[in-house]
Amino acid sequence: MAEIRCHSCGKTNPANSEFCSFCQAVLGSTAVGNVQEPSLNSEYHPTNETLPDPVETNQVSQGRDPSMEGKNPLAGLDNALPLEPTVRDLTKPVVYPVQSSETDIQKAYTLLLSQMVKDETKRPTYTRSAPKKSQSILRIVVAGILFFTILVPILWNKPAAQLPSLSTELILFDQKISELSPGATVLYSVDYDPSATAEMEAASWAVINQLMARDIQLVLVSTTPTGPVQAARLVQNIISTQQNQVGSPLPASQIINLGLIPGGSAGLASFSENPSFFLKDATEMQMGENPASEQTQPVLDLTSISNLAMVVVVTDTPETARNWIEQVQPWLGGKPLMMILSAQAEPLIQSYYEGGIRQVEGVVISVAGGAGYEELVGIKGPALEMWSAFVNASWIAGTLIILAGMIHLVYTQMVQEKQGSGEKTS
Amino acid sequence: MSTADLVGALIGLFLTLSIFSYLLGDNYLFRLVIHIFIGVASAFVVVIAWYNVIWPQLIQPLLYGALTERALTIILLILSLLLLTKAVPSLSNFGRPVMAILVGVGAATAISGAVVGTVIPQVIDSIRLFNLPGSTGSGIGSWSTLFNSGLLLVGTLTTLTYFHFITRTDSKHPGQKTAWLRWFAKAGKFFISITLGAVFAGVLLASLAALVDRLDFIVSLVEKLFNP
Amino acid sequence: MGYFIDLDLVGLNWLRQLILHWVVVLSAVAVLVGFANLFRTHWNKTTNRKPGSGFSLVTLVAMILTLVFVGFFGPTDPLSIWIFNNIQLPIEISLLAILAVVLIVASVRFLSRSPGVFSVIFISTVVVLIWGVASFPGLDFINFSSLRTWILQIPATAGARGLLLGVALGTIATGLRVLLGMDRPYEG
Repeated sequence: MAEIRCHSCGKTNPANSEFCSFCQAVLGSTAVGNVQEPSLNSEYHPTNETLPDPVETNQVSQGRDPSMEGKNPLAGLDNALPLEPTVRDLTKPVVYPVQSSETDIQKAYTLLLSQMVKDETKRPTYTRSAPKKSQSILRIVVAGILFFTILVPILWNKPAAQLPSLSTELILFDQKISELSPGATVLYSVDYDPSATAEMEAASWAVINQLMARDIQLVLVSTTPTGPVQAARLVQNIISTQQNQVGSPLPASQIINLGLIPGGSAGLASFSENPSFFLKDATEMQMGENPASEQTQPVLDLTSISNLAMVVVVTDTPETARNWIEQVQPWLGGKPLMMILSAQAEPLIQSYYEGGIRQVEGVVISVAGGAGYEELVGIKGPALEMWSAFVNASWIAGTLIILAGMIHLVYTQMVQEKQGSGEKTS
Repeated sequence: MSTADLVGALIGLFLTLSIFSYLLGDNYLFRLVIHIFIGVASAFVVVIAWYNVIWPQLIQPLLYGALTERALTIILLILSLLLLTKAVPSLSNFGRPVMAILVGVGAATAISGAVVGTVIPQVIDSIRLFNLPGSTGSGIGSWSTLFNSGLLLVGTLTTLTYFHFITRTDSKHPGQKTAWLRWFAKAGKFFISITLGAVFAGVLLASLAALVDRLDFIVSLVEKLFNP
Repeated sequence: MGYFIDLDLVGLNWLRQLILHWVVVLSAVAVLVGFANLFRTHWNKTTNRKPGSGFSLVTLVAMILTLVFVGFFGPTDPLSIWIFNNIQLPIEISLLAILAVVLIVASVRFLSRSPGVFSVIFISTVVVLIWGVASFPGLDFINFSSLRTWILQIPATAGARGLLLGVALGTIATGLRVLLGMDRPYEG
């Protein structure tokens, strides 16, 4: 059988092969013709008669084809250098077989990775699924029960639910405030989101009224953007309460509003080290009645944060509470850091005041703490007013979670069993 | 009740009921009120930032401050203007150095606060609880304190173990934690479930307080309207 | 550095305080950038008549009106407090109020969606802590308050302490990565 020698690897292949079976190079017309092994005993001995005359070949032949001129650098030089198939094949890349030795796991990972890369360029499509009817019904039923339970004590003035027993934290809080001397300066941070206003005002009402009754100079500050407005709103409430209860206007210098400290932990670090930087014009800071318009000196000595008698932080988020503990408490020089917290911040801040190293020396937690504190100091406020409705709401919420949860679980199991038996019969 | 207070209360009533309408399903009124809220809240934040910080700390020192104060404030003004270029997509690259300063200072204060304010005190507290003042005495009190302290320490350690994600590399158990580490992590999951349950309960109580406040507001306003 | 060494000794404390001062002001300027981006987004949505452009127009009008009135009178002026009390506050408190219903519905469906020991522990903790706020008349025999106090003081604190330490260590690691240039979140 005739064979063809591959021009690339030199191995022999059957004559009718299109590709070399060893290196996959293209055979066919580029291949050399029938292989003839050159023999040492061959009678072919190149002589001067057989070899072309280099002088003749270097001259441009008379009858040469002008169209060959632009073909290649050797055009016109016939028989000078035979064009080896490899030269012609420079434009065509040789195809080598790629036999990868990857395992099945590696192939799976490669596919996964290429899929992930493709998905990165895809725009995610968000389909809005309509809520199931059962979910809407459940939501309306829960809302109805909850609304009814809360409205009953509000509308019919039911007797107040029993207050929880006084916790040691509330007693300690009261003790610390009682130890303050009249005229002392207390920093009061209004750091809660407007959405938590109801809970935080209920928790802090008795504390702030107790501070005002002790003739304390209150310095308001905030790290949340809406804090200064919340503080101004608080001052309005205090002023109207003072006028109703005490009958005299609040002294101008008794409430100072330093405004906003932006920057989170960095802002608090700056405030701790250099609080006087945040002092503004005295007329802008004073919040009481008849602020002194001609006074330009600050009415507050804030050269160091340890000059303060106490710091009270009112916040609903554990992150803000932690920022105050980490950035401000180490600079207080032993002065107490007190907190009025939302119920959602309590679990994460508990470890700061429960242990031996009390970084927070007193806490009032949420509506329950506020109601207990109002009862302790004898000031009736929003916490006691909403107490009955709040207790009703908390009990019904817990009951709904247990009962409705069990009903929903049983219902879901029944539906799944029906679907399972339906699939089996079909 | 003055006219302004009455008008304000009626607006508040309308907005409250619009938000409550979400309980019946998503609707256009709810979305309208949410968009009003976004506009009002964002504008408020800008005004407060201007009045409380930018005007007194940046503009006023530039206009009325001493020479050195003005010189330093000019540098601050340049940094502020570079930061403002972040608002324009084509120029936002100029704001990168300022963002780097903000991120760097934030990271530095966060690190130092975390070390001094949390890690050291909390670690000391975890072991300090075993230094019982009356531990030489007998009785349920000291035993219960010892039990509680032990539970606190175990809970802290197992919770930290739950977030340990280094696994074995041997061929018999590829990608698995060691057996004791798995059990520790499960115990940690138990304590984390309790902590997250406590946080969830806190959020629910806060939202119940808000619901009580809103319903009280509605009832009070209706009473004032019909019984002036 | 100023937390661990006394920078007064090397005369660098003034630089530290200056940088902190600048960061405070730049944080306020960053608020302006955020507002500008929000304005631009809604403006583009309105001018290009994309779906929801009507709501974007409402947002823009609310932004401009609030900026004009509150900016002119000041944030602590009675008019500004009136806007805050009667527009922003009712909306925000109402949003938190309806969250109560959403959370209860989510808790009701929780056990059937992901049943397991830890789900039962989670729901039990929630219920005990809610019932422990105050004793309900007629159900005084079960001392949920004491149980609530113990859960909050011991197991919840243990888990929280572990979480806080984990967060603190993660903060330290991430902060060091940023300061050493391994992470650059300020690019882009």
